[in-house]
Amino acid sequence: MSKIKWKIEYEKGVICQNFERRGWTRTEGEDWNVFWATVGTVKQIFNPDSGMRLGDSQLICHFPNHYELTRKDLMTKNMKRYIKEKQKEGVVVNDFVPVTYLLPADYSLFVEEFRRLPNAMWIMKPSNAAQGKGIFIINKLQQIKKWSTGRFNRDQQTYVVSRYIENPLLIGGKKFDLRIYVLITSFRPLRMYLGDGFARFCNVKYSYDVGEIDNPFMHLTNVSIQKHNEEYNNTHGGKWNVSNLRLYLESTRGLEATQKLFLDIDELLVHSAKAVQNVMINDRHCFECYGYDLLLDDDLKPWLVEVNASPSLAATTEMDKEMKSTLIRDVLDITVPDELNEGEYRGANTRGPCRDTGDFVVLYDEAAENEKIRKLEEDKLQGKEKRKSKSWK
Amino acid sequence: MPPPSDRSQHPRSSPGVALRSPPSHNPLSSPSSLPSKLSPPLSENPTLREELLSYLERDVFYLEGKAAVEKQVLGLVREDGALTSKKTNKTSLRSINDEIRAVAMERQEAMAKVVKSSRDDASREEGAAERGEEGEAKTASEKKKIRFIFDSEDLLDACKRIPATRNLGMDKDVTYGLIKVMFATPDLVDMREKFRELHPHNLQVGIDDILEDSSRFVAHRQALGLKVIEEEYIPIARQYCKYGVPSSLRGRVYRVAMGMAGSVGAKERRYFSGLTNSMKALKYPIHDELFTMDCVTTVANDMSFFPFAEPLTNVVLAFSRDDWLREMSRARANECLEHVCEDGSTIKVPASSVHPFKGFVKYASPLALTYQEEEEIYFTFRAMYASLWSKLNTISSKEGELLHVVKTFEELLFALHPGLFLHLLSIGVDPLQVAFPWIHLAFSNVLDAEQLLLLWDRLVGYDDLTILSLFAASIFLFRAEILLCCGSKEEVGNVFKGNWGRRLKVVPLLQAVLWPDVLK
Repeated sequence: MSKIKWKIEYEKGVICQNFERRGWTRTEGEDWNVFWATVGTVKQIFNPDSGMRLGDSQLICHFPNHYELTRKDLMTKNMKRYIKEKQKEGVVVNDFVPVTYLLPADYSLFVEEFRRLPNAMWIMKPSNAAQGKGIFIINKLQQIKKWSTGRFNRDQQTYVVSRYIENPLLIGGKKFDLRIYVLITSFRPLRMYLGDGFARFCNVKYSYDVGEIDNPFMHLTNVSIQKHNEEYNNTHGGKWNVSNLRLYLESTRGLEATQKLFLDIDELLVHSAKAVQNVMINDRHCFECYGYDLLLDDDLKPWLVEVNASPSLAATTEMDKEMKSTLIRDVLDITVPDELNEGEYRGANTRGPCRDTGDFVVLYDEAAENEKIRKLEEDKLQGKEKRKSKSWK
Repeated sequence: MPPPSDRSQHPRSSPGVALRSPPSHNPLSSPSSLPSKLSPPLSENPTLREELLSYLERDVFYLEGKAAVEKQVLGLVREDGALTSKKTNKTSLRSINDEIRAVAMERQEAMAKVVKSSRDDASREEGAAERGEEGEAKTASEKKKIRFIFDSEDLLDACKRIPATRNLGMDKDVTYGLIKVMFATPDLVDMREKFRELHPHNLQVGIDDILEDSSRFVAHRQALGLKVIEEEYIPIARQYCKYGVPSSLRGRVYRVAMGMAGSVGAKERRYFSGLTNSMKALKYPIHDELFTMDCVTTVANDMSFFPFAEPLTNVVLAFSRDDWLREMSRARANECLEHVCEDGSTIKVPASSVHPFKGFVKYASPLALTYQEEEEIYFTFRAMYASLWSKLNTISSKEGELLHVVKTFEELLFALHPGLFLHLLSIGVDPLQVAFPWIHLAFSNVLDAEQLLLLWDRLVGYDDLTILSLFAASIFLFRAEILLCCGSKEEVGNVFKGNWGRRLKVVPLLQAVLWPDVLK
């Protein structure tokens, strides 16, 4: 059995180290088994014009149309559709995405809603940007009228505008959001693993004052923004482990409220994946580790802000490096079977039920869930008969 | 530090001593009438030998004998010890006060500054500038940079300097540890008795609530905890704490165990706001800056507590204004400085008589994860300081206070693993030098927040600081293999570097050191 070969586009310490530690061989050619590619390269590979077909023993770290989940406008569309579908089926799904409109498409709808809630704040985000670029908050239509006349015609950049969550949960007076890593190895049937998470804090104390909406250091939690603040600290980088958050919430809000919050988060993650389940190209060569950004409000309700296909793997602090290293290690443990090179690998679904691995726990295994339901129903049918035969009273 | 070659001549390292001997005492602290105890070292002083031999002839049972020996043999030693440590304490207090005065002089600031009103202040400053007084007119940038007055290292140095007591005529050291003063310290058997609630046969929060079938235990603990909070009876609350407190109840249980009502009342809120208001009226230029600097450098860099930098600063500053502590602290850690105001009255600075040192805010930080409001953090912090942390900051030989606690650690470690102890000494590392910062700050600089609070649950419950000595010893035992492989001071430093303590689990370590056979 030949050694597993790996390829990477940009040197990323934690990834290279993980591959090297396994004794796998690096390659620059097309004979790779595992390719940690960028989304651009993945797009090229899966482009029908490229003529490229992935072999049995090749795994790549993105799904071809991940943007259904990771572009803000498409994510919004898919979530809205999913919630409506579920409503029709009679299943109640808690809304987990704030009210969002696509611009320029839904401009008039947005204006209507805006006028209905005159005191609300809205946040404008480019559909396809990252690291907090181009995001700003508005509370007057004037602010985007000025922008809209200039920009709409110039470039094709679409924006989404969402209700700004004005009462975020504050800790020590500061706003934070949650970054949670979720590994998905298959969409149909859905196989999801929940990884580690951390809270990213703003450096500036939050204020409800409308005059401060221009202060990104108070409202935007992206590390790429916060690290420019003079208060930014290199030791911890504003990142707080979720276990500390859990301890704090249990102490201050009680055990039940905290348990409910974390259950709600799990539900949110599963619903978000189910929403795109049927539109995703479920290529068996693909797996993806998403970076989910969630915001908690003061009533301990989780909101989905966005999903990132290429969460940053650059380590800003010691602890960060350790965490991301462990993350990649677990991802590789889960996705790459030892027999990958023997040419008989047929995809994640052929590997039996999901198992907790390292720091990842199984979030949702659709096949296993269906099996359980099927068994329950079978038992019910058989059980009735069993009970009859067992009655010897 | 040169290898302690003279120590190898010490009678204790004679071949008759087994390495893994059962817990033994200071050679002077127990009669050798019981075969399981080590025989006392051969003394060079004939009268001492006669004295000790006389004990051999007496048929004294262990416990009674221990008390009797303590009284007679150690009585002398302990009195000496008390005297010398008192002397050292006085010196160190004085030196701390001198340091602060020196800093104040350098920066030409008063100890306390009464702020009457902003208008008065401004006019006063104008008047002062006219008169050319330097104190008021100095700008911030001209002020000399302030430095910390002391920290854990300095405290340890002061403890080390306490000279050995008479040692009953022996001219060699009778102990390998850094603390030369002789005490009777609890050994493992005493600790097993004292901390019997930690026995593995008892369900503990910290272990049994995270196992698979833990829901019944968790529910039981919750229900019991709520009843304890309702009762508001200290002994019951403390007994409850000994098995660990679930995080959702910890805030209220701590308050009850410290003698307060379950939740903060109106009177307490008024008291706290009184303290915060007094901060505006009366400033301590030196102390405020030191406390704030401590918060900024310690908390802001701490991975677990950095979001709480502001509330903790407020809590610590309010703490310095509270004169309740002067009367109610179990141990007087520092002496107040006196500041003579313009109108002739004297103010004690700081009102709480606690001088800031590096890392002081660490005593309060875990409470920021337990409470939401500053008032809540404040009162529990104040109570814990008065009953627990003040004892860790006084150089006193009383039982349960700093010297006793660290001496217990040394004796315990030597008794449990003399090989490790001697190995570390031979490479120039004193175990207490490594463990002192941990014990001094009650492991707030070592453990993960959740585990730290589990340890503090037991501290609150037992109200006994020797559990810190026990935990420090258990860490050394846990890392014994690695430490035995270390060949130099740097290597030992590497073992205990960075975030090494973040994955330690408190309760299993304590159980492993107290009852190693049960857990096998």
